Amino acid sequence: MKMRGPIVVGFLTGAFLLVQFFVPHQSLKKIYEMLLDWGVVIGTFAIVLGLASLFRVHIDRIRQRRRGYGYSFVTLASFFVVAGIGLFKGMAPGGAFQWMFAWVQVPLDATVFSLLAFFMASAAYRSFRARSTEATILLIAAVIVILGRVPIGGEWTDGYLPRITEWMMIYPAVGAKRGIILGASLGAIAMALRIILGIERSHLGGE
Amino acid sequence: MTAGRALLIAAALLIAGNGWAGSEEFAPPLNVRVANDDTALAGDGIKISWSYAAGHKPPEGYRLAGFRVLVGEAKDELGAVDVVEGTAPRDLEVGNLVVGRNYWAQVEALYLPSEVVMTYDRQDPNQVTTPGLKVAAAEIVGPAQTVGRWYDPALTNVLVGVLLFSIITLVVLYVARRREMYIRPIAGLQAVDDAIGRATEMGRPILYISGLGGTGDVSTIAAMLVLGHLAHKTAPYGNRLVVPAIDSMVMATEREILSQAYLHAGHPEAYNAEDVFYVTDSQFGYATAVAGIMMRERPAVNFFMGYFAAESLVLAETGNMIDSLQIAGTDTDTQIPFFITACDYTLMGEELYAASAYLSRDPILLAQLKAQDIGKVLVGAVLIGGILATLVTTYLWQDGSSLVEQMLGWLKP
Amino acid sequence: MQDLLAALNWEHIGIWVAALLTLAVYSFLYAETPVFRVAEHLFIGVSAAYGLVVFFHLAVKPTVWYPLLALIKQGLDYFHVHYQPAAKAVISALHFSPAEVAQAVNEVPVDFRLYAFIIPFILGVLIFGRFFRGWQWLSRWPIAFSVGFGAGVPIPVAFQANILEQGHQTIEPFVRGSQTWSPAAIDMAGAWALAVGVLTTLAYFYFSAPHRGWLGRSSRLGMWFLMIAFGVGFGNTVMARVALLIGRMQFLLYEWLPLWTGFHRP
Repeated sequence: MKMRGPIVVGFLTGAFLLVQFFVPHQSLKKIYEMLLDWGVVIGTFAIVLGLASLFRVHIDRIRQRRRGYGYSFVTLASFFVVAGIGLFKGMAPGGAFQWMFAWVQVPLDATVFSLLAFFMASAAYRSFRARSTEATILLIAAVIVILGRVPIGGEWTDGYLPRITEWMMIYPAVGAKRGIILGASLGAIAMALRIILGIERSHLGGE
Repeated sequence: MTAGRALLIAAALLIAGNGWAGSEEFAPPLNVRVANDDTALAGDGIKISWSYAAGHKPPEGYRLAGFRVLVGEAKDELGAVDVVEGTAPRDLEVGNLVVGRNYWAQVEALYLPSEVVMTYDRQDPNQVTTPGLKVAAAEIVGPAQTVGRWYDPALTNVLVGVLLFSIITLVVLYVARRREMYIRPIAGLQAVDDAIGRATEMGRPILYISGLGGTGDVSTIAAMLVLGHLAHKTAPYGNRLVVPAIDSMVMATEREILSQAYLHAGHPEAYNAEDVFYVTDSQFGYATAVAGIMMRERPAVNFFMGYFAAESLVLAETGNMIDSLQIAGTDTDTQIPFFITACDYTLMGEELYAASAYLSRDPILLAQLKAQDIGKVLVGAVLIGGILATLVTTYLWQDGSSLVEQMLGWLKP
Repeated sequence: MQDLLAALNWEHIGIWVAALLTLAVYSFLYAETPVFRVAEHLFIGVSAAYGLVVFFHLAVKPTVWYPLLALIKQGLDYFHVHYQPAAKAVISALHFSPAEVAQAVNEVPVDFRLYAFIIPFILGVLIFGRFFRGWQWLSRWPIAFSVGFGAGVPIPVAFQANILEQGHQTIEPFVRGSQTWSPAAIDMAGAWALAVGVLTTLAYFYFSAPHRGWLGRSSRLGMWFLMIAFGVGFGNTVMARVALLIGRMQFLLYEWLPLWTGFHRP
């Protein structure tokens, strides 16, 4: 009961979704949509669990006066302010909720995203020092593409570099990516079969 | 008596009173038919066809502007579903219906004063509001029952492929129970033992990131399974596994996986639910939080497994700043370059799915890899065969390209 | 208070907040400073709340809350007929809900799907089994459902879109007269490079034989193809990331600096 029940649930859900792909009949599509909604319902309960864990981490830190517990106040306070306004006042444009989105969340998102410009430089520098054949090929390809996509690269090489770049992008690069996709899909399908058939059950308390 | 019926009777009277060709009256459409739409495999569509008396001339000052189609489940509950502008009668497919129901249909011919453009109601585009509109309705026809199909023949190639691969997998699994199988070393997974050793020696935690996906993503599922097998290995050493999650359901699943893994490994006390926690579901909010955790907890080893997007390099480069040993695994092909340049080991694509089998050393799970290999050989054989056939038929056998195209059609979804 | 709030220039405050947060995040490049830590913790709180609010308004209300109210309404209507006095009070309480909610609830179709809705509610509640010693295993039921869901969907989809479609596109460049084929030798070379790239990459992923001999050679070639692809991916992304950095710099220079210095966009 502790394990067999969930395995049956997993099998029925997975097998139904697999079969319904081949069945265009409207009645099955309706059940499919219903299962999607079920996922949202379960997700709603899961969110309560998730938020409980978030609160617990920070409340414990404050209660036990652990190092840096003051920062936990920042998280909890900002959470309750934004959630309170958003849940009770709604997400209307021009309101406080949208203000916080535009001036807190968006700039933070954009700034963390832009850190990547620095991180790409440091990552490239590291592979430059690695000096393995693989790293060298990667760097050469990257340099060709970077130069091939800026105007100056085309001017220096009489327009050859942009053409080489494009050729690399649509042929050998696509070939390797396709190899990854083909292999990964076989792996994903095999793993999904393993789960549906209950062979892989570590998420259900199995070994 | 509804207006529709009044029109119908009026139309019937017109038909009775006048001949067709050359008549100076507003003639309704002819030969209206309604039937199940065979192309709507879901069974949610009907097809309505009609014609119009050839050579019929509308009264002076009027023109035939279009047709309006009404559909309903009862004769007296018809609702307009479409207005077809233009004089050429045609077939109309009506969708979004319910399978297995009976539908009645009616077609009206719409006449407007010459030179006047048709205008529609703003709220309901199926209501024509042009002043001077004259409507001639044909008789209501039907009912036609919508019929759903239980199989889509266009997907036969997918079905055959999935069945074939499933059978191969099951046969190999069966054989595997009796035979030892060779699996080539995968550097990133061989390094896992060293990584655990490093964390134990340094007395620092292991950070496990299972990507951006939810439980609905296969790569996240793969990442969660790897976590279970990893916990099996760390349990005897008492390493702390810190698992921040971006999704609550993933967090719940990872708690279950970890608590069971420690239990099966004989160290239930090693499980600490608070080390598996939800942070936020925002991509960069999560990345920032993980970066902060890395700087404060200084994990000896970072695992990045599952589905990643642009935040991959924020995570991996922060890990580099604190000199963690880093093992990544993802099938997101756009992020592999960044993990390769920033991590010590990277499991690419299929290797992520192989990881749980590899770490568990369970013969049945390992057999899965054999099945995948057979799948790859088959895919490769189809590709080579297809290319050779193409070349041979193109260059040697001049007229063979249609044959190749037919074969290619089999691959086309 | 209201007047005071209205009198403030909220856009200027917003620019200041955004600029300080931007600088706080960049301080991470120097070290994990207390300023960064404040930004980090603020980010967690705000984004978690934002996610919750969006999820609540766009997903929970239409797919969970309204059907749940409709289900309760069905139950109450039943009781209304059979046990009038008990249900009356609850029904009138339900009618307290705003008109838009009442209308949304009325629009929920009453069919088997509404009654079947009880199942995911039970599954959802079982997640909390984790909180009760000895009942943790209950949470496996919802986990089984959502992982089973994630496993069932991709099998045919991945086969169709990733295996059949990708295979098709690998052979197609060789077909005479097809749209992707042009007679230029460079494209024929490309078609070969693509096909060899696919096959050798597949060889690289071959698990159940030692990578020696011809398999070793092709897997090594596959590795090189992979590295070219990764280099191309890396190079392609550099420009986009630099553009993001420039965007942030422009915000600081052209929106924030003019607020408190004489600097203006040249």
